[in-house]
Amino acid sequence: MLELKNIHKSFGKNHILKGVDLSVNKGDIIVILGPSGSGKTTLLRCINFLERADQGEIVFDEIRTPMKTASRHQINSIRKRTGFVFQNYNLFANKTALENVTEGLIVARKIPKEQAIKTGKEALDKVGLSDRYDYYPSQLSGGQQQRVGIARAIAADPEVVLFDEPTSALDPELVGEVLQVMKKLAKDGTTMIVVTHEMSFAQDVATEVVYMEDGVIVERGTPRKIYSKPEDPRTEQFLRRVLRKDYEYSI
Amino acid sequence: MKLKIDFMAQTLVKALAGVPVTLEITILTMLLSAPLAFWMALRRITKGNEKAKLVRFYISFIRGTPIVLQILFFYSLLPTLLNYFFNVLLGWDLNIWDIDPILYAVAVFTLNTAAVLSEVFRSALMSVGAGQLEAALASGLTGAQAYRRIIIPQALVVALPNICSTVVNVLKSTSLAYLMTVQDIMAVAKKEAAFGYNYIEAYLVVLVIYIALCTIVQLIFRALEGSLSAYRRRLA
Repeated sequence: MLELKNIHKSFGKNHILKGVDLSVNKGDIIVILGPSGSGKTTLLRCINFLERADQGEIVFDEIRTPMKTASRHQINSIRKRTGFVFQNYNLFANKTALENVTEGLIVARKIPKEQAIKTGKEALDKVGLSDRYDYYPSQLSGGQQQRVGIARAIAADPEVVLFDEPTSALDPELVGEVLQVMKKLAKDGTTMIVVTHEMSFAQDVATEVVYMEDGVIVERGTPRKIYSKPEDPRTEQFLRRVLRKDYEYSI
Repeated sequence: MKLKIDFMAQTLVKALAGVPVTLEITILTMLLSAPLAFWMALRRITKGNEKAKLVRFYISFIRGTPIVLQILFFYSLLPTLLNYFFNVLLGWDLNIWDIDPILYAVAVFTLNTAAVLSEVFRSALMSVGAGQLEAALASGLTGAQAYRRIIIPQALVVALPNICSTVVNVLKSTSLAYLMTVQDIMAVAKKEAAFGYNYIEAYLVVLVIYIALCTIVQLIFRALEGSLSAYRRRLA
């Protein structure tokens, strides 16, 4: 359904992505792991054109879009087919939870207001916020804000939802509620690409785990394969570090 | 020393006739400089904009020169320039020298205020943060829609206190318009005072009028702030 081909991106002299290929099928839940600076977030942002890749191509159901030269129109059509969940929620501070969700529906997709409100409420219900429609972001906890962020991303029923470290900015006790919502979405068949450090989420939910380091994909496979029999020594080292099998680091 | 209360009452009535002129210059200046200032602020915020340098130069020129100098300079320069452009170059037969000095005053104050306001706008726009712009784009909004519906409403709330200061400053600066023969509050009072050397009384009257006007402006902005910043209130 979605295919990325040979994506390159540099910031100045810093070569972040060095030719990444990724293919996503409907219903896939792809979890991208990797140390910080490996280019996971940049890759995700390039898909949604929040960063402009220097080279590469995105193929969405046979529609090929060259990433470097994509027109405004092409970018907008890809953005309308994807949803994006940000690490820092990035909710519209001057809009209520419901308005945050309906904004894109009404303004960008020209859905009639009443229908948009109905869709928006359904999306908020799905993330367990049916009692917070009219709250402003400043009145919500971090976990609630991120769930609004997820509702905003899924409201228009996009073909792929991109999650950029959705739990990294949360207090530890709030991580669970967000992961639970994401697991529910996964169960409902939502296609997702998730950049995260939540190893348990990857293990439980992912259909494919992708390990990135230094701007390239080092290894990919089912979570079972990656976690139990990683083939590349870099993958193994990373997993040992984050899964704390290596007790050298324990306090 | 005794204040001449009768004189003060008379001067008050006469100086009040200058209030509409003061307000006219202030309001026109704000209305004209706001879009100009916004355009300049955007030029400076957008990455890699070529005009940013020009805007920066303009702002530092305005900020680096006293307003009295700007008034005298532009008031000498503008009519000559207009005359040369319209009458000499284009051959039109316009009466440049009969243009109402209020228009010159508005022009000079607009040039000045646009520079000040653009910095107010720029700091306010930057306070909203790039994240919400990205979120709006990811939701499918265009850049213009994102600015109009998400960024500007929030930036405006941040900018209000500084916009209020700017309005008050412009209102007070208009008293310098007497240098351009504009008959505003200050000019009227000065003229009255000159008759019998009653300067203290006349200035007292002017002082009271300006305080009253500025207080009204501040009250209006306080009300605006209260109604625009509803989203910032937390539930107790």
